[in-house]
Amino acid sequence: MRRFTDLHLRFQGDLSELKEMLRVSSELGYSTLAISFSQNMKEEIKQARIICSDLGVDLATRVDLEPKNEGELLKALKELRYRFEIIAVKCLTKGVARQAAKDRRIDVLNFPIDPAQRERAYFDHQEAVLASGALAALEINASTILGEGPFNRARLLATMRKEIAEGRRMGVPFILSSGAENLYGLRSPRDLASLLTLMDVDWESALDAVSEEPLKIVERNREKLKAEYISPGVRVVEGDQK
Amino acid sequence: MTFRRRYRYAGFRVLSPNHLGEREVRDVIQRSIVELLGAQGLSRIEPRIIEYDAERSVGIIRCKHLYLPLLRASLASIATIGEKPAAFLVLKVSGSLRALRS
Repeated sequence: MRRFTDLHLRFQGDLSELKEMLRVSSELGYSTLAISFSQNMKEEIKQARIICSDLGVDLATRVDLEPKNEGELLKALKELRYRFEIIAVKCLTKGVARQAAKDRRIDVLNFPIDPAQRERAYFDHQEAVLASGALAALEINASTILGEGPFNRARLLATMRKEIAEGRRMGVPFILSSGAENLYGLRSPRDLASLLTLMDVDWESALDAVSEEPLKIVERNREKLKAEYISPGVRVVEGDQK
Repeated sequence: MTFRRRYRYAGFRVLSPNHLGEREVRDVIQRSIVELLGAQGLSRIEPRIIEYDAERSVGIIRCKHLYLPLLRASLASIATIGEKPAAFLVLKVSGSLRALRS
């Protein structure tokens, strides 16, 4: 049975609204949810953990970085990698996009939807080549598609279709998240998957993009965040574990 | 060989600050399908609201079985009704009304 995962719920500062979002998400069939917090929200993270454990939902903490240049990105990564389970980067410039694609500490790549910004940074072939050698997945946020009018939506779907095809050609995983800021941004996992079929993705791969692929990212990072983890394939083993 | 048409029945819930009537819900769904897939899409999906409970904001919609993902995508792409935010959530899908209602 598939374990559905939404890797991107946005926390806007209202805990009661977040509680309602988590309750509806759990009813819709999600078993793992990642909430995007800002860097200094320790108390809110604690509260969200309590709400999730009451609902029987697995919570993953996420931070969204929007660095202006590569230096800013590297500095933020050094600070935050061990504090959050998911690190997402919104690639606003080509330099940041290239650095993010090759850095193995980054889990999710996001690209802007604004056409002017898109001209500066998008998921092109070189980006896909770099990302294929690292661990980052390309993220599509449903909220970006839903927020647009029909003409912009058509243009966005065309761009995303191209990006997904490029990523698949180079073996870069892609995930689909709701990107919901409130209750109205939530969609059931199969509804989200159906949006991917508009981008020429077959049904099974679309379901993987809301279940297996995001779950792999969470599990991989939890493994990495354990105290005994040293590097891929190497961990500290003691006593009876030998 | 049978030429009986096969349908899928989807139970859905509407999240909206306003209470919507059945006619409004039908119009919103049809408009969304036409915006996303055009008139041809609408003619292929053949959506039909079987029932809608305005009090509870839940209903059942029928479509041709091959086009269920397109109906789902059209419902998922509804983000506003009028100027207000809204969401259509598909809760359950079945091949028969009896199974869906149970």
